[in-house]
Amino acid sequence: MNNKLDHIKFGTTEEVKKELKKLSDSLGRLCSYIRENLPRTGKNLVIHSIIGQSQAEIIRLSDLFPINPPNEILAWITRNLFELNLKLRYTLKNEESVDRFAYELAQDQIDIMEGVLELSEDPDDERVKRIRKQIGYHKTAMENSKIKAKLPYPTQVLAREVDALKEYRALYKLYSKYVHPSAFLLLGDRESVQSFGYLQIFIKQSQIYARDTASRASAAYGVDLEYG
Amino acid sequence: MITPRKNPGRLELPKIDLNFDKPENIESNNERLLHNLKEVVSYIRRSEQQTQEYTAIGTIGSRAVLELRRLRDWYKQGAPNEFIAWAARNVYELKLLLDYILESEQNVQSLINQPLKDHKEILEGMVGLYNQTETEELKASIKEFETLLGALPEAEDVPKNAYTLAKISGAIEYHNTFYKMFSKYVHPSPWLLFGPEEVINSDNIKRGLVYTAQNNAFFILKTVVEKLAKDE
Repeated sequence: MNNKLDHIKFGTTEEVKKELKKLSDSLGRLCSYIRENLPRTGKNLVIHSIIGQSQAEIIRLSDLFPINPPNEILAWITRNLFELNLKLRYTLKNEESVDRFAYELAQDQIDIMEGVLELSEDPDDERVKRIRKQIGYHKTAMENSKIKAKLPYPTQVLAREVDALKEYRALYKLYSKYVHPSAFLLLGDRESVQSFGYLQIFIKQSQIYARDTASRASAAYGVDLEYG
Repeated sequence: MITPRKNPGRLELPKIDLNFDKPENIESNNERLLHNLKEVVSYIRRSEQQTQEYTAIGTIGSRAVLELRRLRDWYKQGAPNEFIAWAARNVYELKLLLDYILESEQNVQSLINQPLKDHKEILEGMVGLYNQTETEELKASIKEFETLLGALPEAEDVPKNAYTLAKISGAIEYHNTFYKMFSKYVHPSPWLLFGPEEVINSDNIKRGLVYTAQNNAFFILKTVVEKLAKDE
């Protein structure tokens, strides 16, 4: 990971908000650059979506952070920014990434539609029939895809593929304990669970991941839009 | 509605019309579930049986109240479906955890021991991330956790993934259908990144997520009320 920590700050609420705003603007400029200057290839669309979602997470953090949300909300945002960063690194590294995301998307759509079907009581409903047809369409697309993989890809596998296992091992467990109703979250000492120390880690790591995402994408496109 | 009684074993299960096709009931069902869960937690806390099992049940119930409250607020505010899915998934995981601890006293002990193990695991991950002084502090804390754990009765770890808990709970079929749905929203999945925006945040899916959360909250309520009645 790009470890230029000079921009990663933890100061007053206003200072942190200012940093997050700069970061969000930088991600926004990258999105605009891709939309306005680059061809609409699969890879560019994937990178655009990852950067757009990273910006959305940073804006969420900036909106929520000043109102003292519980640490689990900050941990969730931080973990998402880490996963987005891994996805970007994977996309930049692998030529087959677009096919793989398309393959995963087809499975995601099947899973979502099967969940929706489970809630419907009438099997003869026209909407139900339509959903079944769409599921069939996605299954065929997956069968015909050149990607053959077991889904889902665990984050640990993705981390290994982009040489980020060390970062994964260092903090992913921390995020997981907050994002799930773990024993730590349920029965842990409240002062520790909601401590300022962990809050600082989430705020700092969020900035590190989002900044690394912006830097890598900027470098890949050979543009200097990354910061400030 | 549950009315306050001195003996928690006499709590009654409320009648709640949980029906996916009745969206007009969503908000009132949230309120009723919240009210009833809060009452049950309060009874457990005031119960004369202050056992580890009751502590664990009370904590799970209390967290379910918090998640349901978030779900209610996010639903009212029209928050993105990611938020609703996160709360819904957490209520489901709490239901699984409740089933797990009610399996055996050993499982209760596992849950009681687990926060120390979790905290130790978090700190172990961080060793090496910081400077030498901070690393030494981390190592000292890890040692402290080991000492505290040594003083507790031994117990296996609480299963780390929801799939294992679902197997214990006999809920694999349900798990395979709904957990995947939650996951697409709780992680930055291809669905969330590249799926159709109007479907991702559709009201239909929002309602589905709330409906599953309410069903699982009702299961938690039912399980606890029945457990209290049995203990009486």
